Parts: sequence; C-alpha cells; structure tokens
Amino acid sequence: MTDIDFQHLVDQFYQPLFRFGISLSRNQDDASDLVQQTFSLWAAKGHQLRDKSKVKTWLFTTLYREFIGRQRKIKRYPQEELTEAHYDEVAIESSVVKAIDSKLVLQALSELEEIYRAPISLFYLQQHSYQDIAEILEVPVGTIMSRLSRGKQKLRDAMNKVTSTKANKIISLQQKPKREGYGS
Amino acid sequence: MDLKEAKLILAMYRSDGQDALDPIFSEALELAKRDPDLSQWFEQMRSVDLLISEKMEEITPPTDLRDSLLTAHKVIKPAPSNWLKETWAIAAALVLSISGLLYWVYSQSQVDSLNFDSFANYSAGILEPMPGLDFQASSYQELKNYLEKGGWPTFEQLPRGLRGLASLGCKGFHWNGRRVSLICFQPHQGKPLHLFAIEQEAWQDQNIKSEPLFAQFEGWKSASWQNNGMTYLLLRDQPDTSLADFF
Repeated sequence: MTDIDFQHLVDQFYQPLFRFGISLSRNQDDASDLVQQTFSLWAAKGHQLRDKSKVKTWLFTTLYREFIGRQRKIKRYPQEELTEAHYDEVAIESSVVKAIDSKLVLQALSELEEIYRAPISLFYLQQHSYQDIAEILEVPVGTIMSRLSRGKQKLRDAMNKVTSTKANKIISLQQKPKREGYGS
Repeated sequence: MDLKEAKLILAMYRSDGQDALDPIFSEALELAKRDPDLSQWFEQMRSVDLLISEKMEEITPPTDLRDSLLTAHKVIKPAPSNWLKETWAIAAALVLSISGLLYWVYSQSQVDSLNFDSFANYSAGILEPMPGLDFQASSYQELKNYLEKGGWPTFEQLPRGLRGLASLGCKGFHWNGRRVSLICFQPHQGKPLHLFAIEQEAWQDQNIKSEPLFAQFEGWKSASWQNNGMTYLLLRDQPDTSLADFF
C-alpha cells in the first residue's frame, strides 16, 4: 500500500473509528490507542483483504476485536431474540433533550453494559447497514436488533438519570446553608 | 402488526433515512402514515435520534492523532537489509525522483487550470437537462455505498438539512481529470438539491473554506465548502430560496 493510499484511508476513517473507540473505551487515550492499533494492523495485514469494498467493515471489526481483547471478554454473549418483552418504553424528558450534548451522550453510553454500548454506538454513528453492524460485532442481525431495541431504552434512561444527577448537584450547591455568626 | 410491534421496529429506523427501502420497516412505516399518534411518536423519536447522532459526530479526535497515524506508518516500514537492496533502492529513488519531478511539473500545470467557477459552471451545465443517473435509490446510504464501491468521492458528513431527505439517485463523472460525485435529493417542498463532491483542495480563483460560502449565478443558488481535502458544491435551481437553511 502506498503512503497516499494509506493517507487516504486514514483521512476517510480515523474520525468515525475514534468516535466508535471512545464510545467503547470511555476515554480519549484508549480510543486513540485503539485507532492506532487498528491502522497498524491494517498496514501489516490489510493486503490480505480481497474484497476492497469491505475495508470499512474490516477496520471497525478490527477495532472492536482489539477492544474486546483488551477487556479480556472474549466469551460469546448469549443470543437474544427480538421479543415484545424487550420493549419497555422510556420517554426522554424535554429538559434532557435540551441538555443533550456530546459529553452527555458519551456519559450516558458509558453507563450501558458492553453488549448494548457497541451496537448503540454504531447505530448512532450511522456509518453501516445492519448487516455490516452484525459482521463487525460478529452476531446475527436479529441479535443486533434485539440489543438495539433494549439498548436505546437504556440509553434514554441513562440520559434522564445523568441529567437529573447533574441538576441535583447544582441545586444542592445553591442550597448549601450559610454558617451563622455567633452574634446573631 | 399492532402498535407495540410497530414501535419496536420503528425504534430501529435510522434518522438519516438509510433504512427507507429496507422491507423490515415497510409495514410499520405504513402504519405510522395511517396512525397520527404513532406518526407523532415516530417523528419525536427520530428528532431525538438525529440530535444524538449529530452530537456523536461532534466528537473530535485529538488534533495530533492523524499525524501520529501517518508518522507511525512511515516508521514501521522495513529498511533494506543488504547492499544489493540498498543499491536498488537508490536506483529506484532516482527514477522516482525524476518521475516525481516530471509529474510535479505536469500536475502544477493541471492545478493551475483548476478554476472553481469553471467547475461550478460545468456542474450546473450537466444539470440542464437533468442527467441520467447511474444509480437510483431513495436511501442516501445505498447511494453512498454505490459510489464507494465505484471508487467515486463520497460525502463524509452531509449538511444537517439534507439528512433524512429522500434521495433521487447519484452519478459519477470526470472533470479535468478529477473524479466527481453527484447525489440528488428531493426536499419536502420545491426543486431538487444537487450535491457534488470533488477531490480537490486548492483552487486558482477561490479560497474555499470549511464554512459554506453562499452565492448565486445564472439562476442557481450555490453553497461551497471544504473538508478533508474534498470540495463540496450544493446547487439548486431556485433563486428565491436560501441554501443557508440546509446548514
């Protein structure tokens, strides 16, 4: 691979890969490291990929595997089916909608269990088809759908909680009692 | 399909419209069209999803990450291990240098001729009449995948107002030796929007920046901006509207 090809690939994918990495790892240094490792593996093994249309999926899969490897959670997650039991609607509060920013999203994502965090991140990054997401996470499409359904509810719940915790902290700081003087 | 099942499926519909043609959503989408409550719920959910997606896109990597990736790639390249390889490397380097010099002279002459106004005029010209599209789909993601497979330039991030709009189709063509992609969108009202992408950073006559530059020429409204070595041009044959609303 030439430097120009490599640079083109980096320019095209390093940002979405970093966003996926930070939503999994929850911190910037680990996310940068995951991206570094992904491109390093591409430099060493990328030529083995015959179907060049799969480059994006390869990169995301590699980053995800690297993350899982580091977490030492290589065990397969149990298969889940898409059932009504998974649907338990959590409404997002209007005050939360107004407060949504990238920090809140990352904080809420970090509250999710790992099996939900990865598909939810890929869902909101909007870079992949469901088939691609299934390939990256190496689970059937039905399982992805199931995890997304439940994961979205959990994310909304987490955003409500994170926002309410922040609001409570502000109130408690504002209501901190003043120390009264001896003479009063 | 009952309301709960429809909600379950619609909750997985992505806000950028890439799932529009996926049959798994068709029945639930039809139900949402007929049921005002479901429709309202769906719209609210999509707007929150869109907001979350936008906020995720705002996450930026550390400023030095790109450079570290490129530097690391250069560092890990294996060095020649003996004198024969070194000799060959020197010979190859000489040949490459001469070729590079010749190419540079050639490319400079090409860059000099790249004039953004010419590109905008040419792009507007091919829309009159509307050209045959190479691939038609109402989902932007399908068009993006098609362009990527063909090696055509693609769009890293669509302007906010284009996300979720139905697309009409796409086309790839060459201009002055550069590859250009075109995707046409149909807004809810008015004439179509035409988005061009070209792999070109430096222009002789215009300093295109990351913030969109709005202009009007020969009945066309235009917006142009740049990102990661790509220049984008949005055109609409509707002088009485503002393209700024789409950003």
